Amino acid sequence: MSIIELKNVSFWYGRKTPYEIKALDDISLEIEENSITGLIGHTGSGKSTLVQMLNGILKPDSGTVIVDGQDIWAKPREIGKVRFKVGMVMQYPEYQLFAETVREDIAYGPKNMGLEAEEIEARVSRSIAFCGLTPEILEKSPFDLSGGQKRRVALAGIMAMEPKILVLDEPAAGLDPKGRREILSGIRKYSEESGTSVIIVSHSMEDMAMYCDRVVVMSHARVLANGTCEEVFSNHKMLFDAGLDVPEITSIVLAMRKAGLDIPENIYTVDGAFSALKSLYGKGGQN
Amino acid sequence: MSLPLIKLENVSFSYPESEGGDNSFAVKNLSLEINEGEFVAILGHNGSGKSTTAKLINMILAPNSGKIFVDGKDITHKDMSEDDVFEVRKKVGMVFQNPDNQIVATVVEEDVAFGPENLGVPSDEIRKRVDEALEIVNMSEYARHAPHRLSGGQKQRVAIAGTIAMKPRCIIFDESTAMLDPIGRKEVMNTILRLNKEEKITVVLITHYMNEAVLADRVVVMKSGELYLDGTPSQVFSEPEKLWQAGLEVPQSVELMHRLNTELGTKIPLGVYDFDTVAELIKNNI
Repeated sequence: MSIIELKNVSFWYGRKTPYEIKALDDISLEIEENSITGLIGHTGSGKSTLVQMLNGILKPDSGTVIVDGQDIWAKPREIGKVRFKVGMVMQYPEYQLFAETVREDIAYGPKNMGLEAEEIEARVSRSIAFCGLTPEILEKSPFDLSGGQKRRVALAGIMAMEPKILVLDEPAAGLDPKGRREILSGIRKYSEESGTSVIIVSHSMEDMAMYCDRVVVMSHARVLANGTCEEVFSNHKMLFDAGLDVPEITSIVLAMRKAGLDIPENIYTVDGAFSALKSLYGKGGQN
Repeated sequence: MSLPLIKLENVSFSYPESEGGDNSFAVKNLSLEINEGEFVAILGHNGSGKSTTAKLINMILAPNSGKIFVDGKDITHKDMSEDDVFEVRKKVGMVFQNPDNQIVATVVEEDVAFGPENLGVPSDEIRKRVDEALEIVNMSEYARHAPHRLSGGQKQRVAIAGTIAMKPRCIIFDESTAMLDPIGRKEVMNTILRLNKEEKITVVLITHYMNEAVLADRVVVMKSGELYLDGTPSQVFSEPEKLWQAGLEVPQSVELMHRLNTELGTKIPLGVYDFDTVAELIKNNI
């Protein structure tokens, strides 16, 4: 089942001016429900434009955007409603914190949705738990927190709106490796337990390979590939041509094949490489 | 033996707003020497004191205790005049994370000229420095362009050119690639390597990316404000457990070799190698 469907979507910046740039070129794309989809592509490939299509921040010049079975531009006046359905976490969302306490900041979205106080309270508690935060933090000022904590609070604020689809632009940028792992595995857990479909935009092939079910590759305003991690990361040439890379471990696997080791080429995680080597050579196979 | 370019002696610093307790120190009893011409990467978890250390060296912050020497001069001395501070910042330049916060002019070459202008450099000398600096970062053809239309990697290279034009002996890069895409990161890393190898500028690179740290001559790891590990990339990355304890990670090649060693009993010497060497080592040891 697809939760999002783009049909022949095109979009220009500065259309009919001398600065016209085609940012999306006749894109048709389906995003699967209950899955984590990674969106990769070089700067200027159209990733950010694409995600801004999903909750109606931008309107396509042609084509249709269908979210959860509905054409979001069927009634343009009601476009605001799609924003409760598609939660968007921008890059460096911690810069958007504003309230006096963490509790108020996280409750802001649900309050605007017109929910009852009790329900809001329950959502605040649930969302901080997913983000690895404890209740003590709720009475603090968001501005007294560390960068990593602020990021989590900002994320919790969107999760508390319980959107059906959560879109995150570089959620782990600037975090240390441990912080990256915590926030990405938190998102993974949230998606699995709540059934939320998640789209993550990232430049890290390693993170995509580890935390996503599927990957969409964009290049020059078009979708080059849309498939499982295995399908996409085994297509090395396509990735290199798109100005991207394969995960480091895939490069090592390719080098091992070149060196004559009998290892499959469609490996994109350290676990995968280890298991393959173990089953091939672990029981004293070669030496 | 020449003097180290930068020397920290038992430096401690706590931010004024944090109250009491030993944990409130952002940098704790840190001693560190950085020699002229070195390329040092500093790694550490968020809040480990990396950026604070950079700001101490650049006199954006002043330590609570301990001494810091830049080019032999004690910059923590109470008689430091404003001119002396200027002198330190001329010697040690900084490039920050977000290129958009560092660009001040509406034309690339004017932006690069901003630093030397403020130093009172004569205008024909400024012209020369700007041209040279743009050449070094490979941005000469964009001299007359508007910075806001450049890519992240290009903007960051303009910011670097602005620093080079002040003729620093050392440049501290504080997560200068964090906001860039893979291509932008490669451009900036190549520029940093060129500055160090060809222009002989001492480089301190603060980063969360292990694959950038492996390009350095030396890796310093900080943990909770203290010096935790200090060695060549091969030395530091051959101890994955220690890095994991510090909230960091090792390159995927090291992780794989480490797992083969611990779980399959191979004896692959851990270190930082290119992909082909990793492949050969695994092939010969498995």
